[in-house]
Amino acid sequence: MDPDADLVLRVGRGDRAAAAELMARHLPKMLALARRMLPDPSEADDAVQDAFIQLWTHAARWEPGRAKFGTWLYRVTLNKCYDRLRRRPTGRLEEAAEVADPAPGPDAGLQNAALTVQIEAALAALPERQRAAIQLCHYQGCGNIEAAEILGISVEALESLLARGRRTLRGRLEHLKDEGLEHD
Amino acid sequence: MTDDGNMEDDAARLDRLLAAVPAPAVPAALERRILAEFDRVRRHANIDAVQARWTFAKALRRAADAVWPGAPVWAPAGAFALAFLIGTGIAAFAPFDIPQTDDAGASVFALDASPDVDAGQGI
Repeated sequence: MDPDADLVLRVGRGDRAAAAELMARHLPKMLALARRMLPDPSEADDAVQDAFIQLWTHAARWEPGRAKFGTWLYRVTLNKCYDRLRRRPTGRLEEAAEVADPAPGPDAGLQNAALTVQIEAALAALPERQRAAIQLCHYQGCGNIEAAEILGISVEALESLLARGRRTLRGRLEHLKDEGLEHD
Repeated sequence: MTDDGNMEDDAARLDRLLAAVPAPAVPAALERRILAEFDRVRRHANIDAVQARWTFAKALRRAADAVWPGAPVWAPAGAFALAFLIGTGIAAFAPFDIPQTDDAGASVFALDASPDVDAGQGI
């Protein structure tokens, strides 16, 4: 049973409280996905808002049992991100990858922040399909089957994307190996 | 250490690095914007429903104009209802038992009768 099915049906009938609950349930993960897919945070916010508009518009026609709601919603979010990436001039993506390479400062907090920025920059520089696969499997907690469904590819293709993405990331973050992490 | 061991270490290190990136906080303004969009979409849905009703009313008006131009809708509707009642009344009360005329039986004869029977055609 889809845990969101009842809420979606209520949203379709115009129930605002259900809309707020559904939003609270999915917005943080959708935003995390969009923010890591799009370098500009305000653009990521707009992509998430567009995904919700599509949800509000289509909720009345939602058929429970046809597809898992969460899978559909993440797929919509990802497609909104792809749309925006397609519209961007290619140069800006490269800029985004280059933005973050500050030297780590002596302060531990700053060091962690710098580390985060470097990891995010490395993620941002990945090809978009590899980045999406890493986002879904590492940050959204999706299993391989669900992630493949969201991306509209086979599980084998997803595994291949993940392997290539992880290999590229390992290469780009090689220099961080010995720095250690405050989180450990 | 073996190559496999190194690869596992690398994978574990990468997992730790990825986990070190915090999830972004959700801005309250974005939540407000999304719920405002919900209100807007719902308002539009209501307007569309009202417009659909108006479209039906317009179609009815056009049909009435085609039957009885310039008359209010009730006039062709009333005429149609009256015609329907008259038709139904005739169907219910008109006599359907039409009596046979007397000479109707005279032409009845057996087809296998002998040929000397005059079938009334003077043959």
